[in-house]
Amino acid sequence: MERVSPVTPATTDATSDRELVARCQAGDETAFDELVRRHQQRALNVAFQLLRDYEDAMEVAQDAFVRVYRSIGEFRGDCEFTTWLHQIVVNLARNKRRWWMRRGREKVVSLDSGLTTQDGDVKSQVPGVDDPPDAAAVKAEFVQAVGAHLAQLPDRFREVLVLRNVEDMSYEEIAAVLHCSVGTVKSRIARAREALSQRMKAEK
Amino acid sequence: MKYERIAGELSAYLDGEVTPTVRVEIEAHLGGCKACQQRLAELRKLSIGVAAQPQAQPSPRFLAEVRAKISGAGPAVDKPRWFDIVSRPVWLKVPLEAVAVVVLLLAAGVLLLPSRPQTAERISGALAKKAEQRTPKEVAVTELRNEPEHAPAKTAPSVPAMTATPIDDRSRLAFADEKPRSSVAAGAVRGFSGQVQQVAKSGGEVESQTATRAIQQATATMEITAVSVADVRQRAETLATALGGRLLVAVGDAWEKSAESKAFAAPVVLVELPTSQVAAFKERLLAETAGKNKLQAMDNPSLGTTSTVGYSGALGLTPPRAPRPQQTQEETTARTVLDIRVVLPAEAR
Repeated sequence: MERVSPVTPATTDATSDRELVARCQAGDETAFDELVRRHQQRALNVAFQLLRDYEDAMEVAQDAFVRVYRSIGEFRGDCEFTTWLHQIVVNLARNKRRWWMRRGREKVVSLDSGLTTQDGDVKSQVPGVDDPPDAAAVKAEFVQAVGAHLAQLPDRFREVLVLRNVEDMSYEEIAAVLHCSVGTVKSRIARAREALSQRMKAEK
Repeated sequence: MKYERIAGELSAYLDGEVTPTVRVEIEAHLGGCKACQQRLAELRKLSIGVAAQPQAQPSPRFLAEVRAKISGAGPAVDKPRWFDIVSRPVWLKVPLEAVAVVVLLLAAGVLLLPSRPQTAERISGALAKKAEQRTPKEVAVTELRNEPEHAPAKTAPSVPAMTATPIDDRSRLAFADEKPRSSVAAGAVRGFSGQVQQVAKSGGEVESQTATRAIQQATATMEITAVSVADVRQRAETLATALGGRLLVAVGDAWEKSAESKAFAAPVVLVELPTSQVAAFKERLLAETAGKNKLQAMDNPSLGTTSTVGYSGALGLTPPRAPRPQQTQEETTARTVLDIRVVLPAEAR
């Protein structure tokens, strides 16, 4: 079985998320800042994979943390903080895509073009040193094609593939994020891969 | 394990999400099935392709911008919209939708269920008479004869949504002071106006005062056959505005879609006009509607004649003490509320 490596955790700080959440609930603003620093890259990347637009992904990720800040008192710890954060990010990304659709807008960012941030930096990260060994066997064109077709998949398919293969979440974790059963996640991932595969074959 | 099931489990097998038993079965199958081997390789390659997508890196100002948004200095955070509710999990969504369904059912029941005793009395007392208003004067006389003066409301509806529209003291005074009224339409119209007030209020279409004023004022009626209440309403509003009047009330669009609408008489459009313009308004609206809809439009000569506004006891109104003759001078200054009864094609047939 092959499993791609997860996105690199933002920190190795021994303080657990639960402790930070508890401190945050007690009014410790620095704890919230630490939660943001720790998870900002993950939140942003999930939003970016779902939206494929850097600026909108930044907005979604930041808004997600604003919601975390405002709702932290209601978080009872029934799930991991990251699960809760992913729920918020996924929902906000859905809303953003629907906002696009209502305005007849569909964004697909070319992987060749790189990503321009507000700073003007190019942040595009094609597979590098931290990528799994198998990635070397996958050509850049293939990755680009997968990205283009991934962007065209229905939201529910793209979400499970991103959570599974980019975030390296288990089916159980994905089910918690998406508020559905593990069986649903299992069948949805299989159908999403089938849909992606069919699209890739149709292109050839 | 059958081939189809093996093939269906390959995705989960790739993710390590199968039970040990299934894993053993799949691996035993893979040893001799090149198709499944190839399929597994494809799935693996796709997964790597997804995982190898470029990653976004946060701006150095990420935290500062989050803080700015929290403090209100940054761009507004998206507030939950209707699709947030729609996309909620089922356990949250169902109660909200259930509430909506209950509200709709209540509204539909209030409007469409004649068997409900207290609403039926109100609707049949007002709307059904409206349907039979070929002899409005007789209706008015009958009602006046049958109702004691200053009679209280006959019924006290138990359904909150249909609680009698509070006819305020101004309307009572208006009827009690025997203020001269010009042309007329009869108790059915007044009763119908009262009903309009209720219906419209529940639909939020008009202010309650609008219909109350319609009741207070002299009223004329006309009947018109058209395919759409909305169409008549639009034309009537435009025409009334052009003639120095205005649209008062328009209800009944939804009834067009209801097969039961006939049981509740016609929908209604009320306009207020200078009395001197009523004839012109009728003529032009009839001509315009007949021309546009290619349907027969007719002016009902039995309506809009002189009479005194009648009384609908169900509305709790104080009836006028005596009929008032129409005053010619009033024609020039008074304003008339014209009740346009819309006869839909199904009803016409």
